[in-house]
Amino acid sequence: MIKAIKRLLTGQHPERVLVFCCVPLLLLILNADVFARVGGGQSYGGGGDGGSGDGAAGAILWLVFQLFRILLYLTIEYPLIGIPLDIIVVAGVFYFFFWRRQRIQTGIFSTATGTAPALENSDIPTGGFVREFDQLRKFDPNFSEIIFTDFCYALYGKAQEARGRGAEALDLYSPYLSDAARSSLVQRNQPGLKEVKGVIVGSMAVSSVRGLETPIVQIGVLFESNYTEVTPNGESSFYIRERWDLERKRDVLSPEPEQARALHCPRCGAPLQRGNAGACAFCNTRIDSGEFQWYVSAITLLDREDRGPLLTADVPEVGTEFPSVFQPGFENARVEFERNHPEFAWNDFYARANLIFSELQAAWSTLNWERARPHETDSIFQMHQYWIDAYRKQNLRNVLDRFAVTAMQPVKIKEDAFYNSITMRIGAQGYDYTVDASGRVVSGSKDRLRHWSEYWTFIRNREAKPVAARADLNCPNCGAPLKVNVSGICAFCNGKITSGEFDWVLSRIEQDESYSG
Amino acid sequence: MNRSRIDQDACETLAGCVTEIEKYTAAELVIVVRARSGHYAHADYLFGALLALLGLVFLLFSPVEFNQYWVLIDVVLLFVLGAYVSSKTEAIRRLLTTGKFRASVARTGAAAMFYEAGIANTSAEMGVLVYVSLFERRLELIADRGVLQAVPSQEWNECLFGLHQAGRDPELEGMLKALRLLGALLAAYLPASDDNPNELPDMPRFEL
Repeated sequence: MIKAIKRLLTGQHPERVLVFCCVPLLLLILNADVFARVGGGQSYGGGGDGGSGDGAAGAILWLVFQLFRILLYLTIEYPLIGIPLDIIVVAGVFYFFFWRRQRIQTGIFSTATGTAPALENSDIPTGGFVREFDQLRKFDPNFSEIIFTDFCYALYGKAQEARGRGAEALDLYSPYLSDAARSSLVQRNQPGLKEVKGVIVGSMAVSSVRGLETPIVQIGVLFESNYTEVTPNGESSFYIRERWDLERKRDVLSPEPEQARALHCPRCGAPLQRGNAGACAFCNTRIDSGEFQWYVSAITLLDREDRGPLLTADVPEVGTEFPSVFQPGFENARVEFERNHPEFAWNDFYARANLIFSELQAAWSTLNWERARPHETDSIFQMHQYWIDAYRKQNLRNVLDRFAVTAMQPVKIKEDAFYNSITMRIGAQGYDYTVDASGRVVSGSKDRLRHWSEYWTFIRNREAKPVAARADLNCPNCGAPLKVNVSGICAFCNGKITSGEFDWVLSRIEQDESYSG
Repeated sequence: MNRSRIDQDACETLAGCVTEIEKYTAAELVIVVRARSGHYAHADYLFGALLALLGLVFLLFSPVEFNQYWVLIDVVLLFVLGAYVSSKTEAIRRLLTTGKFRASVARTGAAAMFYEAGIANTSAEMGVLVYVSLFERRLELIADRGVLQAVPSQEWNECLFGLHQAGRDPELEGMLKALRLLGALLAAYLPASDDNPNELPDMPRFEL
């Protein structure tokens, strides 16, 4: 309360302070007759009523003034009634002016109860946070949405698995998770929990970016995930929606990709290992803020259900007819990119994008998602795996029959500190339907040709060898037939081919109606 | 390095440190030390108003009787007195402002200085501003794009951390130590070329 009042009074608005301070003074002076009656000091009593001014504003002021007088009278004459009323009024005013406003701005819900109303998609701006991230890059040129996403995925999975091993195991991640965040995670452990496994993030969306004008920048992230908890009574799977609030000093530089996997001390870069009093065993620093790296200040569970998402809704396609959204200055970016990468040829790139598109559609239709593994980054592969698992668990299969790419159009080229990315608008058509285990169509149609388009973003590491994009099913590093493990590592050369270190891989898919460039 | 210890010697010591650092790096370092970065009139008004309120309460509830004319005069006088005392007392201003607010004004002051002092206009984007705001007990480090792109993140963040720590209780020795670490980092990743023009003045800018 005191802090809140201090906050109000310490803005850069002297007039606010003057109003805040002068109004009570004025009211006290105007209320001199009341005090005079109470204190018995009649010498300066007198003065007329406040009176009502002209118009609505005057009437409201008069009403507020009279209410204040009554409240003051009750407080002094009948404190048993007056003081509780004072508390209620002060709390009401505080709620209206501070807490409510803060809640509207941030969308943060209390973690005290463990659950909170689910955030609607409308809480996430349609245009995303492109402008905010660009602004952040002015302070931190290393900031990469790709790396930030990978970091969030990695930390989320590790934290969930660690809580299955108990609070002590989770404490290992204290440089990344605040006490409140860790206790929020541990609170949801069932009695006798042995393990949390199969953590798959279905979607991750940034829901707010705040504080870019202050030394601490805060990012809210919404996760939709699925995991299995093992207890003495057996295994149970849950579908979760939760919000993580991350913060970081705005001016620090984002680490290189290999240091951004929540495996290292954010300060010294040594492997995570706890020493005395929770400090890093190597640099002996106890990290409890976003001084060096993103730090989760709060975790709010929004929804936890044991049933999967609804997969049989027939959602109409939106935005296919929309004009393509190009980045500002796209042509210049394209010319510059071509100049900087003479080995790059659009035809090769189109062929690779086409190959990836076809492989993914085929993998999706057959629920054989391992087939897509070589072509996607870890995070998007995990996201798609979530949906594949959901289909499997419900004995359903979404089929894209006789699909074909009808258009490809590059709309955005971006080079950040670590990755080059190209976003293509890909138009396609096919017969899109969902069948159950018996082959019965439960949604969509086998006869209605569906047209759709999406924005696909492909990335490649900036350090990748400058060679043309490949459009075959061979390892882009060693040339052997594509055979990768679940981590995306080639079985022949041990090169990790899903991080864009050798060739373009798919990093993101966005729908027409949500893509903002 | 509070205000009483800021003198010509400290200024020259810092200038020497900057010259030494710039011998080995292409970066252009500028040090600015300011007494305060923002106006705190609102804190003064607040203190004045609180004092006036206390006076009024005393006048109203005191068993001693006062002539009613004294009420207005006393309240106004106490307000003016409170505002004046606050304007001369750092402790009161600090008490009546939040750390967040002070951090924010220091940062805004540093950002403005980055442009005003021409640090943003070095030919190879190599400007680095070390901005110390004594009242706010903050040290801000702002570096241009060329510097941020050249230094490794971990070492830069460590350096930033050291400087911020030094800024919490600014004193000359701590500052010099943190600056030398910064200088070593800049020299390692942005070594001076044969042609190493001194684009910005080495002498610190003191506004006390």
